[in-house]
Parts: sequence; C-alpha cells; structure tokens
Amino acid sequence: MNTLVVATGDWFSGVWAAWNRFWFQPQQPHTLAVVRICAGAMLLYTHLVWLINQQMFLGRDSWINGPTAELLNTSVDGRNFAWSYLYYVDSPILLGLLNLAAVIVFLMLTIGFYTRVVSVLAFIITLSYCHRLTGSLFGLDQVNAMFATYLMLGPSGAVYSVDRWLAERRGTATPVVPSAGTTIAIRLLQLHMCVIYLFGGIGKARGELWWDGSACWYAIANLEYQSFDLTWLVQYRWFIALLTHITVFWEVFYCFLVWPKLTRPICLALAVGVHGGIALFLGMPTFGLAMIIGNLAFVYPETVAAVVSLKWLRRSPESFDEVPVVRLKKSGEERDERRETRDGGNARILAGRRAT
Amino acid sequence: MTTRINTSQESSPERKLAPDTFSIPLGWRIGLSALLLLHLLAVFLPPFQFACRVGNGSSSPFADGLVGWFRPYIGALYLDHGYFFFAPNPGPSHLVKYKVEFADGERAPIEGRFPDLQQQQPRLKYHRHFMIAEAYNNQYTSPVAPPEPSPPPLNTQQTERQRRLHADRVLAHEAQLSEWKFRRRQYEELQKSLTQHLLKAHGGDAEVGDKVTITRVEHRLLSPFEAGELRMKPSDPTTYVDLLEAPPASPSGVNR
Repeated sequence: MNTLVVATGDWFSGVWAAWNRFWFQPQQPHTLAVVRICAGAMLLYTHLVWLINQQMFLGRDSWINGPTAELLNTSVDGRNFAWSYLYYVDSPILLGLLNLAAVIVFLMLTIGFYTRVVSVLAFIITLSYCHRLTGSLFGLDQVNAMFATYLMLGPSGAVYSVDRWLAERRGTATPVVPSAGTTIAIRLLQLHMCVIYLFGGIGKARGELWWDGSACWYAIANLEYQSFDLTWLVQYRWFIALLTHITVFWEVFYCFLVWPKLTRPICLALAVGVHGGIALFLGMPTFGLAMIIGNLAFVYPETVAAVVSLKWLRRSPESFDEVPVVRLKKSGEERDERRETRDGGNARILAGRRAT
Repeated sequence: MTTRINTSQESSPERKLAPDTFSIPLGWRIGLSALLLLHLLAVFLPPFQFACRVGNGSSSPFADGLVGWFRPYIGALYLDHGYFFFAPNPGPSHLVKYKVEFADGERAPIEGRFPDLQQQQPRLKYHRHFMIAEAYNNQYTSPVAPPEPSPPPLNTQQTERQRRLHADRVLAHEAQLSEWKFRRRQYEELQKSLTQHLLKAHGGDAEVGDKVTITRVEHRLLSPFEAGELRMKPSDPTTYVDLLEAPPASPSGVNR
C-alpha cells in the first residue's frame, strides 16, 4: 500500500514539475517579439482597410449598422457579452478619430513603442472591432484577436523594438532576461494554434469529400476564393487527392507532432506550404500569412535570434560553443546565469541554438 | 565573477533551468495555473460544442452545459468559433444580387451583385463583402413558423403517457417558436440594414419611394467531371441559382 501511495505521490510531483517547466520556466523574448512585429503589421493593415472604408463598414448606414450588429451578437435569451464602444458611435468625425487612434496604436505595437501600454490598448481595440463588425469577419479576425490577447501578456517589446533602441541610446537598457511572462504568452499561443488545427482537422474528417480526395478540388474550383485559375489541375486528380489527404492528416495530428523536436520542423514546413497555398491561390493572403505568423510561436527563440541577426551567416559555428556567464546572488543562493549582451542577448541565444 | 561554461551539453533554453529557479513564487504559480486552465477550457469548449452538433440538430448536453458556464468570457474575448474551415465539406458560395429602383422615373434601375472583385479592392475589402453575403445567407430563417405538434384525435382515450408526451411536444414547440421569432427578427434586421446601405450608396431615399430588392444567390461548385470532360468554367451562368425567400407552397396552399 505504501508503495502505491509513494508511486502516486511521485507521479503527481512529476506532473507538477513538468507543468511548472512548461508554463513558468523563463524564456527569451525573441520569438514573441517577432510575432509582435508580424501580428502588429497584420492588425495595422486590417485596420487601414477599415479606416479607408469607414462609412461602408462602421458608419450609420454601413452594411451592417451598429444596432443590427448588436442584435446579431445577442443570444436567444437576450444576453450579449460582445461589448464594443463602436456600437455607440454615429458621428463620422468621432469615428474617424477612433479609427485613426486604432491605426496609431497598431503602428506603435508593430514598431514596439510603449509596447506594454499599446499591447493592452490593441487588445481592447481589436475585440471592439471584432464585435462591432460581426458578419464581415472570417478566420483572419479570429487569429488577429488571438494575437492581440496573448501579446499583452508577455514583454513583447523587450527586443527588436523602439523601446529597446531608445533605452540603449539613453544608456538605461537593462540586460534582456528570460521571463515567465514570455513563456506564458508563447505557450498560450501554441496551445491555441493546436486547438484551431485539431478542430479544423476533426471538422474535415467528418466530411466525405476529405476522404474521397476531392475536397481540394472543390476549394480551388470555387470562383469566389480563386486568386488564380487552377482548374487545369483537374487533369491531375491523384495530386489533388494527395493534397487533400495530407491536409486532413496534418491538421488532425498537428497538436501531437508539433511538440517533439524531430517532427516539429515537418509540421511547420507543412504549415508554410498549406497556408502559403491559401495565401497565393485561395484569395486569402492575409489569413494565410496570419496562420504562418501563428506557427512562428513554435520557433525557438535562439533560432529567431540567429535568423534576425544573420549571425548564422557571419560567424563560424565553433564560436557558439562557449559564452560568458556571470555568477549572481539571488535570495541567498548562488546560481549561474550567462551574461546578457547589448545585442539583446543574441550571443546567449545563439549558444542555445548550437546546443539544440 | 565571470566563468565560462560549455553550453553544448545543455538542452534548449526553454528547458535548461532547474525547477527551483522559477521567478514566480509558488502561490502565484498555483493561482496562475488555475487561470490558465480556465482560459484554455474557454478556448477549447466552443469548437468542441460546435463539433458535437450533428445533422439531426442534437448536441452534447455536457458540452452545452459547460459552454453555458463560460458564455460571458467566451463572448467577451471573441472565442466563439468552430474553426471548421472548408469543413465538413467545401460548399457552394453565396452572393447577394440587388436591384435599386427610383420612384422619380428618371433614373434607370441599378442592378448588381456582391462580392465583386472588379469593384472591391484590395482583396481584403472584397473578402469582407464576401463574408457579408455569406452571413446574410447563414442568417436566413424561413418566414414560416415551425409547425405545431398535431393533437391526438379527440375520440381517442388518452393514456397518461400519451398526455405527457403531448405536453412535452407542446413545450418543445414553444421553445422552437420563441427561437424562430428571434432568428427571424435577426434576419429581417440584417436584410433591412443591407438594403438601407445599398439605397444610401446609390443615392436613393426610402421616404420618396425609392426601393431596394435583394436576393440570395447560391453559386454551386463544378464537379471534376464538369470541368474536365464538359469543359465548363466556374463562372458558367447555370451554376448560379437564386434562392427563394419562402419555401414553395404545397398543392393545398399551405407551407410546410
């Protein structure tokens, strides 16, 4: 009996340790920063289109006016939790100012200026627009809202940002340290992506066209989605069937295969292929790009740092083997931590890349 | 004091620190863990509930119940999605055909259809119009109310079980009726909003008698045989079908 109790205790202890490592082990901010830049640019572009067509989508006589949008967001029991400040804005001037403010916030988020403040504002603005514009939305907006939600949880402006650049110029820059906030934001992003693909795959697995291999044909034969006419592919039906089967299996198993280091690159390469195809051929460049940005969350920070700094081109691999460390005193205990550098901790990150 | 270590023995930076070096105190980690679990549940539940819906209109009471608990959070964070992209099967597209007529008799009627790639650029603007047309079709609710349950014949001696079954059907019908009224109102308001926009966009005025008629159009997809053997194009006029606002009347004149 004692053995069983000890084994159970050990199991729970192991689960708790793994949970803590998964969620709270501090992580470098480079991946989150690149997601911020790409997602911020996507949010900015999305809102520029709203801004240019303000009266058509948000004005008093827009396609779906404010009261109708509010009604569409209301459930049968009369409850509406999809709050938006835009329901109450009629004046074209005020609407213009709010749209301009939104664009400025997204621009600041993209370049990383006052990042912590604007990431929270970007979250509020994105949700308000999504709720007000119900009926005009699609997958892009779902992914945009996901980015805005998680970017405000971590220090996404810690590197590759105007904030960092200004701090370095003023001489007030502190070393770039790994943080648990980054880990939480990245983990949530990763798990959210897994949920999207899991149910995307389950949904497809329920349709017969995804099993007889013709689903991709019906996607490319859809005139409203087409960017290029690919109907000549009807001559190569085995190829269309192959694309169809790969899509289903990749989506269903993404949430399992994206975690192991060995299968992660395959999963991500397929993501780039599938979403690149959607972006190029199915008339949704924004959605395709947004999903590729979401997949960036699975790229290790050291890989991001290496690619961004192009040091993988400039330096010999041997120089990554050793990096300097400083011995820190914290809470009465000593621990080793590698020294951060003014280049945003790239030396350390690159060392990690070499190790993996 | 500076030392040098060989990092080639380490795993990725994500996993290299020992568990006791977490910067967040234990109490905070427990609280945050609870919040993270609740949030992940809110992300998982809407597509799960959506996937649980099957063709006969039923769904999982477990999924429905849990989603009910999370409804405010799901609604506020815009998490209510099924993620069924092109699923379960890629289906036909839906468009909206419109006709603006002016009461003054001087201006010719304006006809058009959206989405229209020629008129709506950039592509994102076109896609917004496409989604409006799809939303209008998805919101469609028949003008015919769900039929009342037939009462048992008057000359039948009702058993207790039959009486209870009939009472249950009446209750279910009342719920259906209430939902139908709400959905129909949503559809009519959406229709009104679209027509008002079209009228304004084309310089019309409802007060002087100008009017807009809109029709839902389904654009069906070509089969590989039609494209490959019959050489049909996706834009073939026969692939566009106008959808009716009300189901056709039965021979007895009663809609069913």
